[in-house]
Amino acid sequence: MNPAIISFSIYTLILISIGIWSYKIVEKVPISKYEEEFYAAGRGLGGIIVALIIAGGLASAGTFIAGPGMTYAYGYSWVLINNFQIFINFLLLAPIGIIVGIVARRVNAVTYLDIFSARYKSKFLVILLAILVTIFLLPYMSTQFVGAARVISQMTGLDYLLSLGLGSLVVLVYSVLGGMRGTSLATLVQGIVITAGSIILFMATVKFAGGFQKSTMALMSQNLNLLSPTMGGKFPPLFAFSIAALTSYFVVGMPHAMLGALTYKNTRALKRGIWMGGILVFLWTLPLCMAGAIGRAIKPDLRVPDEIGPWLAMHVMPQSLGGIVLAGIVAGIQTTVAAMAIIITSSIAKNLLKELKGSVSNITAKTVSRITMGICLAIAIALALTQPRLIQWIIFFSIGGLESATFGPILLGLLWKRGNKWSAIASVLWGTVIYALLNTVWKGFLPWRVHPSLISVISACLVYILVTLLTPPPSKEITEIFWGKWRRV
Amino acid sequence: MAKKKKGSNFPEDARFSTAKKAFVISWIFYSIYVLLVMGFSYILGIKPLVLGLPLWIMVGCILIPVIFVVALVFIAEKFIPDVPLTDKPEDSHGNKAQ
Repeated sequence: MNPAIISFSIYTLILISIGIWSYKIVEKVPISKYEEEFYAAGRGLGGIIVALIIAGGLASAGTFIAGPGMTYAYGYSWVLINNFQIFINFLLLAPIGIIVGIVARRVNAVTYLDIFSARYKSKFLVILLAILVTIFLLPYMSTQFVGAARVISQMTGLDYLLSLGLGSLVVLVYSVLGGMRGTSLATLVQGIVITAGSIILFMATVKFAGGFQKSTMALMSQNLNLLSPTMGGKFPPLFAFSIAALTSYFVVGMPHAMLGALTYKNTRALKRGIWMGGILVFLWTLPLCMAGAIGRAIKPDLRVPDEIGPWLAMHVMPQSLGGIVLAGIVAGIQTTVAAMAIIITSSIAKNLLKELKGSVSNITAKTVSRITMGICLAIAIALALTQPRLIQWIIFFSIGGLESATFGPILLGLLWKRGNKWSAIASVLWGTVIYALLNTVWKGFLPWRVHPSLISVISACLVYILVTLLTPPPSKEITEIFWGKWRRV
Repeated sequence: MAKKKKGSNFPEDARFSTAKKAFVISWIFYSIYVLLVMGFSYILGIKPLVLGLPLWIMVGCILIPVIFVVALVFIAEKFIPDVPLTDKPEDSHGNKAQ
């Protein structure tokens, strides 16, 4: 057994004990308050945890595996593009955080779809969104398991299949058992490990490569395009901008990001969540991406580019340290899977079930939420068996789909009193259909490699506005709840 | 029947304009960031090397992001006012708001 496996295992054991411990906490909560505890952690999370939940949820294997993988494949042009995601916390919490915080307390919303349900009062919309969110999140979740498997297989030398099983196990234990409280506790431990791991990996890689000067020269002799901001024209500015929109401007359309907005304690926590999130995502993005680009100077012939992060951890530093770095990468993956699992579970077990069956007893909801989470994780793991080469493209596909469906209705719905359920339904359907068409039959129509989501999201917003102007405003009750001075009747 | 004109006479919660302001600040901040990063990265060339890295990487990928991360600390703390999230003033500090 090598030292990397030992340090990795110690970390994993700590996480599993956190899962079991928070399972016990959640079990002690009276059944009437179970939902709020399970999904929103009692709505009392402070700044650093909020920062970590949003940042850790959004920065996924996309950042920790695909980030270095993409810079390995495409050089520094992808460092430029990945840097666009640094301010995700700000662009989530500032636009909708305060309104969601107030309204969630007024209507006792604990899930993403509760907000939609309160704003639009439409059974059809909630069912539609529950289905769409699940469809788009599953491939995204599966990429996380692919990422975890790549780490384990580089570390242990086991084959992909076995690594997939091992990597998935840790995630399952604490997210199925602990809910949001378990996630938030584990997130703190993970946040520290991720940050340390990312910085260590960067410094060790630069040192091993013999400094920037030497690595730049090596890249220059391999392919000058690796040093070009557009990869020699492969990623034109408009493509870069569409990724900036996808990862940041449209981030409020990401259901698993909304968890942070539903769980923060007060505006102090919100502000800290914003700037601490900025620092954290910066520390996770830039060093890892740089390491990936420089890694190419060290090892130019990796078959699967996404394996560069784990490969570096095992080869450019003492193995016990490498184990911690890999633990950090897996930690980043786990936070995302946990947040997504909670979103899918809550969409199906809570919102979908309630819309379809009317009232549901708390015990049924509890059982169903655990079963759903298990099934979704199983499907995601099954999808991971396909072993994609660069998971980033799958992640972008999922994010684009989620945002095409939900960006307009959530942002415009919260900022504009006029929109109603017809605007929301039209916008969701339009965004999804256009996005599907742009990814399939209309693929060739997109100029300058612009990501399809840019067109589907913007046009879905226009549809929202148009339908709103043609239909009556929402009921006075909705207006009161969302923007009125509150008086409980 | 609803006789009040909707919109114009609606007594809006003051916290809503705070929320709108926060939205505008964040989008302006991020737009300036994107503009500067893209502007500098595409205009500056690979040469000369600064500390061994191409000039555009040093400025567009390292210098500007660092400046904006530091700026964010001040902007978030100074420009987003504190507002209570609950409607009852006594538990505006959050803890066990139910």
